[in-house]
Amino acid sequence: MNAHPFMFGPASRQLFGVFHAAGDGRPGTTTVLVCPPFGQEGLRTHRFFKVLAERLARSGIATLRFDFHGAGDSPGDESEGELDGWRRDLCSAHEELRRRVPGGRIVWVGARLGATLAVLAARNGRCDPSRLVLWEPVIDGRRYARLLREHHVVAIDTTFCIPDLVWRRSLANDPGALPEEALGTLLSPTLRTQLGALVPESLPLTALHDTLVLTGPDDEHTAQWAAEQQSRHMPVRLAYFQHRLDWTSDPYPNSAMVPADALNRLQGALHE
Amino acid sequence: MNDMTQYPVQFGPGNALMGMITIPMYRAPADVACLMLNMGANHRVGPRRINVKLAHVLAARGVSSLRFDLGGLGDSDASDSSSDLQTRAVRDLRAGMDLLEGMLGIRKFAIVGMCSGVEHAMTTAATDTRVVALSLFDGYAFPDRRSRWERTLRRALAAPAHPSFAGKAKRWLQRHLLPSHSTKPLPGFFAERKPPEVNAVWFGATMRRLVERKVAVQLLYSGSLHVCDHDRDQLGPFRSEPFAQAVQYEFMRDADHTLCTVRGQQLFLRSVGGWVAACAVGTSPERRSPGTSTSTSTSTSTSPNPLAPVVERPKHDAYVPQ
Repeated sequence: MNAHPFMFGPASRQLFGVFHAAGDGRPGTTTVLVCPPFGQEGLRTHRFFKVLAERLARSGIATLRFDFHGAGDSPGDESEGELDGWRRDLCSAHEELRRRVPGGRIVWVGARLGATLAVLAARNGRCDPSRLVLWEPVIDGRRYARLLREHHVVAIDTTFCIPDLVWRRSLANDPGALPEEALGTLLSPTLRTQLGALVPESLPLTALHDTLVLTGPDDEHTAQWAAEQQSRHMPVRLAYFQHRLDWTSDPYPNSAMVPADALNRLQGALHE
Repeated sequence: MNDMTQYPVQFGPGNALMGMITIPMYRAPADVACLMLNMGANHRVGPRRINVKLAHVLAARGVSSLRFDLGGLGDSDASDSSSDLQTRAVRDLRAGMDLLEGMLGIRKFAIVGMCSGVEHAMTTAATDTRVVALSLFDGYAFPDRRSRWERTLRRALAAPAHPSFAGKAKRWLQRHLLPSHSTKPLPGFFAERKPPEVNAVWFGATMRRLVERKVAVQLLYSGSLHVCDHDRDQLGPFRSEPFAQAVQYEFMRDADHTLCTVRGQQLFLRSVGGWVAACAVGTSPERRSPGTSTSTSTSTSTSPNPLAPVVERPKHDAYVPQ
């Protein structure tokens, strides 16, 4: 195992990370910081990003994975989760990676809400990624919360032999409400407010770094957002990518945990 | 979280296993530590981070813990593919106990097993006398004919209003009429399904052995899988056995199998956290007073190795169920 688990960040806000050092004799100048998704999507993709980090490390690209405060193995309570704190966590992780591999160019690879946080963190000037790879970023907080809520209701239906229909009725009666919980994860009042305010217009890219957006061919909203950034002459490129990873499911036989096509696509994205 | 210290660790053969030790920061740790392992193929934070939350609850009650990924899951590497899953899981759990024994001096352990983890936990306890307590969630169940009929009747009555009924029925038919490669477990990777009567014989013999050895056992069953329970219904023919009266049995009607709801998680944490803490503290009549170890009271998560000098050797007394 060429991975090293450790805690980092300020004493008041320690984070859990796993550093994958570049393979012996093949250290490159590029390093990668993985920005994981939220909640069940984060747990669902955990193994995927481990394998991706190992692949990258073997090819000479040191990689740092980490958990946001109150998520995964990092200390903190879920009820404290909110975007501003997580944005600062991302910069802490960036600084930690910079400390471990001085001088390299750092690429952020973010998925879902992790990709959104990458956009938010990269434009505040505290940290300086050379490139963003955004895999199906969340650009509409309300739409995202609705999706999580729908999947939560389906999970309840599926799990209980005799379902608790209160969840489904609540969804039908007030489909726009932001959920207090989704798929076993709490959404704090602050996070709900922030998701409610998260719209494509609140996610402008900057010219400080290149951006590659990967999304499904039927995702018109993300494509439109990317086109708007291009119209502002931002260095952003959109690429369509279909995969077999179900973001919110448990691992089932027909829902791959580490789909090879997605691994290859993300690894390739670093060299485009 | 200022009342605990957490240490990521790598251990086992080739340091292939990765986990997190959590110890209480401002009080003497109990003489029993808790081990948590994966539920199915989920990451070590378990279904929706429940093992992290349980580690925090236990630390607040003075109990140290190790949560980790079994080899080949989550952050852990597969170090050996020549033996079957059960053998590897037991070896990994024993490696976890060895680690805590070496680092903390703790020689007695509680294991929290969920779903597929129940078999791993029971097998480990049966072969390693360091295990003094087992909390088993949605493991083996042997409902008798009356219980099965009641469950089936309730399901049937609920089926017309069940939003997932069509999908469930389709999957059931596919499983039983069109068995495909993708629905069959891989030999040696996932646990292979055994006949119910084989499971029953093994469960009964193992439970008798564990209770004779005074291992404390908590059996928990979720409402999502089992629907109803009047009086230890999931134990079926074992209900009248002496060991059934010695275990702590709880039917958690409002908890679901994957702890998908916050309510279910709260119930689980309250029940398992309280039970494990009671077991752990109950075995340590000679517990040190808080503050007798400077390392414990002053350690921080950034200090190099605050664990080494901390712990006194606990007594080897057998656990007596509380």
